[in-house]
Amino acid sequence: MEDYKFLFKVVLVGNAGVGKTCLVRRFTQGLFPPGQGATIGVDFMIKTVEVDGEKVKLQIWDTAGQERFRSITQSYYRSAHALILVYDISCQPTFDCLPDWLREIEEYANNKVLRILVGNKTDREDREIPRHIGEDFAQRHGMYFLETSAKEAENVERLFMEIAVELMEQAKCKELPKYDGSLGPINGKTTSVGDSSCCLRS
Amino acid sequence: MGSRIRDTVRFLFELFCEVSPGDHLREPYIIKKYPESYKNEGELKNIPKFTFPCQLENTFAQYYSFVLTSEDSKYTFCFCRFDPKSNTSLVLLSHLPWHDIFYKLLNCIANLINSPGKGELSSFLEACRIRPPMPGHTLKVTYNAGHSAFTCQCPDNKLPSIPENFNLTEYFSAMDSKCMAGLWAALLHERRVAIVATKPSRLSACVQAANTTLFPMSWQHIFIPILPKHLVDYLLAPMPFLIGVPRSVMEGVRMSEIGDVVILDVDENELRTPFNDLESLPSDLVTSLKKALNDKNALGDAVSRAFLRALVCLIGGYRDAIKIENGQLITFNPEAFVRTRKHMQPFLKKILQSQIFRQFIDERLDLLNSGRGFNDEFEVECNFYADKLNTGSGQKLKQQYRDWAKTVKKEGGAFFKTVKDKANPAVQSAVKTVRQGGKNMKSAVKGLKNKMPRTGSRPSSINTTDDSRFSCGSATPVSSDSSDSSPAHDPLPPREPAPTLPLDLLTEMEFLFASQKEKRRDSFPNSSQNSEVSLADKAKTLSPCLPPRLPERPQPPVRYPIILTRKLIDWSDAPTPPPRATPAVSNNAHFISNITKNDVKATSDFHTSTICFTEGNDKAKLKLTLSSNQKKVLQPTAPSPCNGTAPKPPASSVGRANHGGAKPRLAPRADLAPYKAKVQESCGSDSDLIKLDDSPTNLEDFDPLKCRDKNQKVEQIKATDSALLHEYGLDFSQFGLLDYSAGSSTRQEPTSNVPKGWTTFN
Repeated sequence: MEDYKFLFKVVLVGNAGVGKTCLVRRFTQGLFPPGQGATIGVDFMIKTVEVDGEKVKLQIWDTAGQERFRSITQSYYRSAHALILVYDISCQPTFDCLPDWLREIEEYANNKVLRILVGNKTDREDREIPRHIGEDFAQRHGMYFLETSAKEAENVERLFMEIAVELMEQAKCKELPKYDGSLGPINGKTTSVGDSSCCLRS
Repeated sequence: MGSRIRDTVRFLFELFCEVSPGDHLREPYIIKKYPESYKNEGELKNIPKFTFPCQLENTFAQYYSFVLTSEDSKYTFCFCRFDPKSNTSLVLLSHLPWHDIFYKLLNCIANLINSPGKGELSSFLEACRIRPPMPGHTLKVTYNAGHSAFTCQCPDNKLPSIPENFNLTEYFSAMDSKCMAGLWAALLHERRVAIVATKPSRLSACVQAANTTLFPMSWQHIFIPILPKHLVDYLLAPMPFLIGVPRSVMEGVRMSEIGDVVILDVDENELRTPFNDLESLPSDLVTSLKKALNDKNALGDAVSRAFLRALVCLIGGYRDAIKIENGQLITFNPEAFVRTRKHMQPFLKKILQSQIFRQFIDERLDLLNSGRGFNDEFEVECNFYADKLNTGSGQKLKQQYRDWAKTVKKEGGAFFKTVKDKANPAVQSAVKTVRQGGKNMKSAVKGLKNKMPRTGSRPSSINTTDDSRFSCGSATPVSSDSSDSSPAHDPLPPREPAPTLPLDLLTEMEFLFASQKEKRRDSFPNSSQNSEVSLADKAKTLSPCLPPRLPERPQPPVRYPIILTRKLIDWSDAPTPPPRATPAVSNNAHFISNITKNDVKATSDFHTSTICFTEGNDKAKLKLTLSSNQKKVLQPTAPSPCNGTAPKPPASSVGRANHGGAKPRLAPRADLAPYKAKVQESCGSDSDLIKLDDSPTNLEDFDPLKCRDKNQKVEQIKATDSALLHEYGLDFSQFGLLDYSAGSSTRQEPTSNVPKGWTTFN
C-alpha cells in the first residue's frame, strides 16, 4: 500500500437512486478497485488527496442495499470517520426519509462521527427541496451541508476535500486517528460548509 | 423488510459449474457450466475467484460454501465440492441456503461425473433444476438407471441440530464453549468479526453456523463466508462485518490498518477481542450458556437451543414492549423493552442500537401490523420463560393482539393501507407494486390476502370469513399454528423457515403457499359467489380502497408466478376428473384462462417431464379439493393439516388415478426418461393445501404467539430438555408442563371449529 499520513473512512447512506455511487465515482474518477458492489453488497473506493502537504487517504464506502434498513443504527458507522447522508433535491421522498435515517443516531448524544448532509442532483431543473430547507435540517441536526451535482461534477471535489480537511484537524488534535469512533468531538459545529461560499445557486 | 433471501426462487439451483484452480499462468476459470445459457456475467466472473480463494490442500474432498451479495443485498449461496483427484471444484449456485441438501446433490453429481456414462450428467442436472420442493414435498431424481437417487425435502423449521447440520457440527467440534460464547457476544455487539481458518470447509461452516446462533435475528452487515485474496481490503471496512478469512489471506493483512477487530482463530481454537462483550452480559446467563456448550456429546438441537434460550433471556422481553392499541399501528417501545430485564439494562440499551435487533423488531412489527402474526421456536421459548417469570406476557400479548385484530377487522381495510403507507420504503414499494399490476406476485398475493377479508363486496362470506381470512393470512408459513395443534405428529412438519434464516426462507415459502392460496381462494370457497370474476375483476371488487391503479393489474406477473399458472393450466385441463362439473370448477377454469396467457408468455423454458410429474400430484390434490368441493372432505383434513393420515388415503388414490391421465398428455422427453424427478407428496402436504387457504377458522384460532410444535414440545420437555429447563429453574412437572398441555388442549378447540366455519359458506 502506498504511503499516507492519514487514512479516513467515509460511509455514504441514503435512499436508493439519490446518486451515492455517482458521487463517489465522480470523485475518484476511476481510481478505485474493480467494483465489487454486485458480489459483496458493499463497494468502496479509494482516493488519496493532499491537505497541507500531507497525504490523506480517503476510503469511501458505498453501501448498496442499505435501503433495506428503515433506519441505521450506530453500530453501522461506529468505525467510520465521516457519514455522508445523501438525498435527491428533485425528489421529496428522499428528503422525507432523512429523519428515518437519522432517528437512531439522534437518540444517542455520544456519537461523534462527522456528519454531512448532501443534496445531490443540483443539475436537475425540477428541484423540489429548496436549498434553505436542506440547510435548516442540517443545522438542526448538527450536520454539515452541501449541495452537489455528481453529473456536472459540481461541489463533489469540494465535498470530499472539506471532509479530509475537517477530519485532519480533528485527527491532529487527537494524534493519529483511531478507528473505533474515538475521534474527538466536533465541538457541536453546525456550520454548513456551503454557507461561506457563493458557488452554489439556490 | 430485511430479508436477504430472494422472494421468488424459481429453481432448486441456478447454475452448476466445474471450476479449475488454474495454475501459475492462469487464474481460476470455469471449465464447464450448466445451463450453458446462464448469463449473469458478474457472477460468472467472480465464481472462480471465490471458489479458489486461496491454495487448497490437495488431499481430501472438501465441502465449503461462499455467498455472493447482490446490489439489492440479496444472497446467492454457492456450494462447492473440491475433488483432489480431478483438482477441480464442483459448484452449485442457488438462492436457497440449503447447505446440507446441496452438498448431497454435489455428491450425486460427482458420482455421475466419475461413472462411465458421462452423458447422463446434463440430463440429470436438467431434471434437478426445477422448482424447489415445497414444504412437505419430496423431490426425487433417480439416476444410474434407477439404481441411485437424489432426494431432498424443503428443510423444516426446526433448529439446526447435530450431526445433521454440517455447518453447526463442524463449528461445534472445532470450537470450545468459551470461543463460541465469546463470538456470539461479539456478534450481538455487531463487531467487526474475522474468522480465520486454514481449510475453507471449516471456515465457511463456522461462519454460517455463527450466524445461525443469532436466531431469531440474523447478521445484517457485510457477510463473506470466504474472502478471496483479491478482496482483502474489505477487512478495512468501517462497518460491522462477519468475514471468513483463509489463513493465507490473513497473513497478508496489516493488522495496524484493520483497527479493532474480533478474530476467531479456528485452527488454534482461540478468540482474540479488544472488547469485553461477553463480560458485559449477565454472568449467570453466560455460565449456563457455556455449561450447555461444554457438553461435547450434545446431540440434536441442544447447542442451537442453548443459544436460543440465552437470547430469550436477553431479548425475549421485547414482547412486553410491544404496544398494542386498538385502531393504531402496533409499535415497539424501547424504554419498556429496557425495563423488561432488570439486571441487564445496560446490555439492552446497547442492543437497541444494533442493526440486527432493530431489523428483528421491524420484521416482527411488520408481521403484526400486516395481520400475519408469527410463530417460531423463539416464541415458544419466550412463552416458557414468561411462564417461569410469571409475567403472563405471552397471554397478554396474545389477547391484546386478538382484540387489536378484531378492531382492525371492523374498521375495514383502511387501516392496513395506512400501515403500509407508513412502512419503510421497501414495503411501500412492494405495496405499490401490488397495486400497480402485480409484477411481484408474492406481494400481490399478500396484498390480496390482506384485502380480501376486509371488503364488503362479498356479504355472504364477510361475517364468517373475516376472521378466517385473517387467519388464513397467519396460516402461511409464518405461523402454521393450527397445524401444530393437531394431535398427531408430523414427521415432516411445517413450512416454516429454517432456523438459520427464518424470516427469509419463510418469505419465500410463504410465496409458494400464497400462490396456491390465491388460486384456491379464487377457485374454491368463493366460487359460488363470484363465479365469473377474473383475477383482475376480483381485485377490483375486493379492494375498493385502491381503485385507481388496479386496472393495470392484468399485466403478466413475472417469474415465480409461472409455476402457479402452469399448475392452474394443468389443473384445468386435467383429464377425467370425476366430479368436475361443479360450478366451482367452471369458474375456476375461467380464472385459469386469464392467467394462462401469462403462462404461455413466460414459461417456455420450463422443464417438462419433471414438472408434469410434480403437477400430477398437485393436481391430484386439487382434484380432491375441487371434486369434493364440500366441507365434508375438508373437515377431516383441516383439523389435522400436518398429520396427513386422514386426508392422505383419498388424496393418493385420486392422485394415482390422475397420473395415468396426465402422463400421456405431457409425455416426458425421451432423453429424460431415466431421470424422473418426482415431487412426492409427503405427509401433510395435501392438508397443507387445504389448511393454508381454505380452512377458515375463528380469530381464536389465529394466534400468532401460540406455541407451535406443541406435541413435540411436550415430548421434549419430558425427555431431553428437562435438564436445560431446570437451568431456568423451571419445573414442568409442577406447573409448566401442566399449564402447557392445558394450553395446547384448549388451543386445539378452535381448530376443531374449522368445519363449523365452513358451514357458513354454504
